[in-house]
Amino acid sequence: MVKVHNRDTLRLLTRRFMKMNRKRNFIAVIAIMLTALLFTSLFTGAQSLILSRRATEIRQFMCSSHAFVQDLTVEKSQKARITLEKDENVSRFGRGIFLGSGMNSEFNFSAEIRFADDNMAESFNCLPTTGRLPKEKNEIAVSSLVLDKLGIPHKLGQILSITWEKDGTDELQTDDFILSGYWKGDKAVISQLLFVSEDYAIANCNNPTETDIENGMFSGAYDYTVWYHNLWNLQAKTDQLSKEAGIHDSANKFEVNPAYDLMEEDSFSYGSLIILLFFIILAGYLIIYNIFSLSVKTDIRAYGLLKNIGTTGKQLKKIVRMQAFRLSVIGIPVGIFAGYIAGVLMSPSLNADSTFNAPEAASSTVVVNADPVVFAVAAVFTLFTVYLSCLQSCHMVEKVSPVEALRLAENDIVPKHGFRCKNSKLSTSWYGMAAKNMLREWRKGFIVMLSVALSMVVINCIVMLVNGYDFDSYRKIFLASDFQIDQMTGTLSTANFKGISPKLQQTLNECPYSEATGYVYYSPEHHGMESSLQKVWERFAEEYKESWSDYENTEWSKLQESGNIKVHFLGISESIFNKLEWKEDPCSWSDFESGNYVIVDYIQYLEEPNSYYQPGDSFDMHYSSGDEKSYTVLGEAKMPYAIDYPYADTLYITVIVPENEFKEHTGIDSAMYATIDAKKGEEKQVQNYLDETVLKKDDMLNVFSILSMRESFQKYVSRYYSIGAFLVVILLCIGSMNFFNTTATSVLSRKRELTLLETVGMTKKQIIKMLIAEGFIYFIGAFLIAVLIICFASEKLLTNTIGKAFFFKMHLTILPCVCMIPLFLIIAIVIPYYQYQKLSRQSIVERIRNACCTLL
Amino acid sequence: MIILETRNLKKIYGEAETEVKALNDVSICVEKGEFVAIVGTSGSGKSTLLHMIGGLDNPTSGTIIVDRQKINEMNSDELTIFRRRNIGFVFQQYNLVPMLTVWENIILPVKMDGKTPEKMYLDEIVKTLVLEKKLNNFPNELSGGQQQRVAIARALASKPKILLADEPTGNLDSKTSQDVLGLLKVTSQQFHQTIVMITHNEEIAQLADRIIRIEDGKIVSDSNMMKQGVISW
Amino acid sequence: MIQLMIGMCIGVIVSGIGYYIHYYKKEEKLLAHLQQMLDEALNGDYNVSEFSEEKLSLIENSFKQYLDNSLIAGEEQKEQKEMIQMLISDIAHQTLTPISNVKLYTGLLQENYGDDELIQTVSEETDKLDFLIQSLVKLSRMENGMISVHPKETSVNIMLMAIQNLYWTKAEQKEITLTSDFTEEVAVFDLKWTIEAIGNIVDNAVKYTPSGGKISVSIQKYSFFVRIDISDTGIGIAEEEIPKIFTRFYRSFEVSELPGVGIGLYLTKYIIQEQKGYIKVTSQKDKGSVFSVFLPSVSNR
Repeated sequence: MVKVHNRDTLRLLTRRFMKMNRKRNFIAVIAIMLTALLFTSLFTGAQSLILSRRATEIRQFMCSSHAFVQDLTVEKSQKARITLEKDENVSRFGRGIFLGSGMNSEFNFSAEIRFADDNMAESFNCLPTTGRLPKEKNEIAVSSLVLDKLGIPHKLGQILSITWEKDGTDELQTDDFILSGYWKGDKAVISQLLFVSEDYAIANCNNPTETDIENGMFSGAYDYTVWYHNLWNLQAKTDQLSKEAGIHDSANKFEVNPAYDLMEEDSFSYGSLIILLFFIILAGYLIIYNIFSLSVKTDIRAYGLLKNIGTTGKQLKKIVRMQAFRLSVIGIPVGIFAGYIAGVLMSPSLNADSTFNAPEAASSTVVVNADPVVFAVAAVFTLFTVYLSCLQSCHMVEKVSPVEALRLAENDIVPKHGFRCKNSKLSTSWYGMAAKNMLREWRKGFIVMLSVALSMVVINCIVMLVNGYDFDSYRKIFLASDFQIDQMTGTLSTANFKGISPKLQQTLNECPYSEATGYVYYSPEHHGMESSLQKVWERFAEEYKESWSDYENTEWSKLQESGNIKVHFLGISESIFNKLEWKEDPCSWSDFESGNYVIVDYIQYLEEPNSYYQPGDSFDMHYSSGDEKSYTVLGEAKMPYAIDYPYADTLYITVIVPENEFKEHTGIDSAMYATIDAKKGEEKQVQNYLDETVLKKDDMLNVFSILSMRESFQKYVSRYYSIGAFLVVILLCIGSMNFFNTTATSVLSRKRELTLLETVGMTKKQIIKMLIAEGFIYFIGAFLIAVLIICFASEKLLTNTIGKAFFFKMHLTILPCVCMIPLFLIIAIVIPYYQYQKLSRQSIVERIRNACCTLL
Repeated sequence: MIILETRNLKKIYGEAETEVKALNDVSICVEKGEFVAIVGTSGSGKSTLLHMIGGLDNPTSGTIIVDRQKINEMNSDELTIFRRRNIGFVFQQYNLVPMLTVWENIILPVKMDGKTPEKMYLDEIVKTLVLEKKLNNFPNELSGGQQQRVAIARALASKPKILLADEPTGNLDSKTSQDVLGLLKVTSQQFHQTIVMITHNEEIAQLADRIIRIEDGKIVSDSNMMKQGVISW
Repeated sequence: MIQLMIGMCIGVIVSGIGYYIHYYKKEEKLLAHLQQMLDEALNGDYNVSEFSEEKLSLIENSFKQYLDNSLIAGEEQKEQKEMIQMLISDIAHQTLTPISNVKLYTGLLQENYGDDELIQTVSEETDKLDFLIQSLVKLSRMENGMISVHPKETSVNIMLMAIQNLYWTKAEQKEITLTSDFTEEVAVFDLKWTIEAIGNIVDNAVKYTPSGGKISVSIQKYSFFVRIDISDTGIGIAEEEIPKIFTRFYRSFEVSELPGVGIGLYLTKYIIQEQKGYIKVTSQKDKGSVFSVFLPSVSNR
């Protein structure tokens, strides 16, 4: 339907309404700006978190493509290739052949020999930055780390002699290659890559059959890596590829790169995003709603008049919405800009959280970019919030009755209720009147209270959070001592359990600043279960079986069949012994040192009796080296978390013997962990010592120090400080703006009423007292709501969302709320006082006349 | 031609015992071009009647026909648009839109309909009402009489079928009242405008061609219903 | 597949929007045209803009026909009205001479036969007839636009003096005091016709005020009007009758025995309205009436 062209008129009215409400516009723009700012910083932060996490994962797992397939036979490779060439979704793909592992004695990292085309190399993030990928049979491209290890200068054309082992066989092969390209190596990655030419690869591999591959002989197996045109619907596209290529057994099929799997729970908490979104919408709603509702109420007569002379409810609604939209047009871009800056500033500290575990910290990458989509989404959300906030105002103007507006204009605005029961003494005193006024507009009052309370609650929660993080409990997780050295990595397959060689131990022992140096040795062993032990495990299985994974279930049935349980067999030095977490009284080292005793752990997650053995029980150990020895159980204890076997495992027991006993029977003399406790105040010296002696020689070692731990803790907590401070500032703004707005407009909008009161004989002092009392009621209400929320909800909320960290200890406090009292008190007193003073500069008669004029 | 007719109009406020009959069976008929004054004391129901004729309020029962349309059957938005196109209002409190200038106020009802204001016609009105010099002022810069003249101009701008005036001089001193009403009268003569005006002021009512008296929601006299005088030469 | 589907969806949506915009524009144009047509018709300068096979052209044509028909009907009505008025005017003119003759001979009769009661009656009735005919002539001339008022700035006092002179004798005869304020006000009016209009009111006042009564003419100045109040102490008018006294040939029951034709006030109102002024009457039964004539003041122009 063609509508009558009255938009211009509506625009004119909108403009004029805005002109009339300058102060309101200012406050509203700030409110909208703050809302947009919150949304943008939230989205920028979240996006940066996701992207950074993705970048980190891409780097760690050496795969930047969208999907990949691994370990294909030649026939399957053909099929895959044809499929990939045909498929429309695929923008490009890379191809590679796996040969085996580099076995040069110099390598103390895992190294892989492969052929890869440009795309494949790119996917590995290993595209040569100098030179190119090999073309000739005798060419090779390697990472700079490999060159360093081999002691070869970074120069093309150098001759490298590489020894490698065909995967799945024991055949070693050594060839000389000419360096055709290299790139800067990355220590954080799973393994270093050495690229050979396709000719060399084909000539030197077995063409593995299906069975070979099933048996883990991958030499000669093909890999493909795939990029699609976009990131949309990766899973479906990938499944389709598998289907088309006919490669869909569980072991090898096309798979989506997990880095692009956004729904991965641990990479990002959607729950907290939604909570935050909701929270921002609420915060924005509370203030914008209040602003609009107040301004529409003040202008309601004008709206009524317009309706009288022929503006429909819908048009009036449009006028209100257009005002909101115009304000948004100013507020949103400013808010987005500010929010983007805030997001950028905060994202490094946001990421501090996801990277607090040390091996990953080295490889974390922070990505922040100005994504128009993020801004658009933030703008949409802000508009949505503004829209929500105006709904009620719109409804109000839509339903304004023209006759009612006439009455409003014709009769003086005599207070509708509240002043009627004049017989009661209470209602004529200033505090009684204040209370009545509050009751009259309880809904508005409640919203203001809620908004102020919200600010208080969040501020309180932030303080509680920051206070709740405890460095000692944090440190314990990562460090049992001041310094800890190992060669562990993020995954089991690449971990080196024998990272601390005797030579290294020698160096460490010589450190002059250390108080005590200790070692933990590890050997995987097995133990035939006694019936009592078996019973404990059966009880355990009964309780937890439901939550077990398939892997755990098969392990369990294997365990039941064989009666053999995995043993984490650990050897420890005295200083470690002193750190053990005993179930009962600690035992003495001198007893233990004799070598006739073992210490065993217990099942922490099972109710008593949860012991495997009682002290005094005998424990027969059958070493995998063939030795056999019968020990007596000395006591039950757990290793400190930081120096225990570091990977997830369910069905095992831990058995601890002294280090000498361990070395004697297992033949292992390299330790899994070394720990150093520095002399008091000499942590720095120890750090320097380690840097100079140990790290210089071998930078594949991980050294964790209490120093960096403290730093990373600070970083972690500072994340909450910065987000907290940010939120505190904004919420204080919102809360006090709301409070300010309400008190200010309550004076202005009741100009006439107040003047009447004054004519009737209320003194100025009494009126100000009344206004201040109203402010107090708001404030007290807000305070009570805040305290109620804090006491009953915040603890649960916090511990369930942000306070999930294990080193978080809740201390319930309302101190921050109490600290905010003065601020709000000042607002509650100063604003009404100031506003009324300003008002009462005019004489009473003037005011009545003015009030008339403004009404009409 | 009959431009306005009410049939058995009733408006009842409240329930059962507290029931107040603001209007009780009011039937009137207004010819095109007539200037009718409805006179009554405050609380007599005259305002209620006017509000209903103007579609500002709904009757409890009865029919209101304006220019052959039953407006009591319209919904609120229809009524608003109907009002915009067919009814001009002049209120006691002038009720100008405070944030619009005089000229914008005058053309607002026309613009609301997306029409281009007829410059010549409006100029004529503005001239008759002596508002030429005030067009760019805002309502609060004008005196009461001036504001009321603007209100009249606004009411006439859309060439309404009926101009409804609700105590148009209630807020003005008697001299200004006479001026404003004089202009209203002259304008209505000039543009053959149908006017229904309510007032409690006898003197003002004398300006009308016809006076309807209303008391307690009932019509007590209507000069039109009186026996005709003899026509003699 | 999915891309294709999305492509199709987008295609459908885009073309949908395209069609919508196209038809919206078309409809808008059509409606604007119709609106223009009607506006032209309202202003009376409508004409068919084009002749084509289009439906719109047909509508225009029918509309034109309708307008023409109603125009013709209106013109016919107007012609008839004019004919009647011409007739009245003719009758009036044609009767003027006979009436003058009748008056003349009645005078001669009175001279020859003395003041006979019968002759007296004939003389009075003749005067009445004369007044009626004169009024009719003026009225018909005015309504036909043969004469028109030419308001210009004029001193109100001049007019008042004229009226005083005209009716002083008549009032004197009835022992009625006729007083008039002196004023310096200037208003915008046509002197000749306004004297006629206000004279009619004064004439009525003299007629309906009993001997010993008072008639006063007073002046009041308003921002936009000059008010001339003619108040008498006569019989007064019932409120319900006030609006009717200005209608043609209306005469109240109360005064049916008094001489009068019921056309004077109609003429008065007509003259005043033509000058952008208006008349208001307030009256109390048996106490007298006030006729207020509002003439536009200088500041109004």
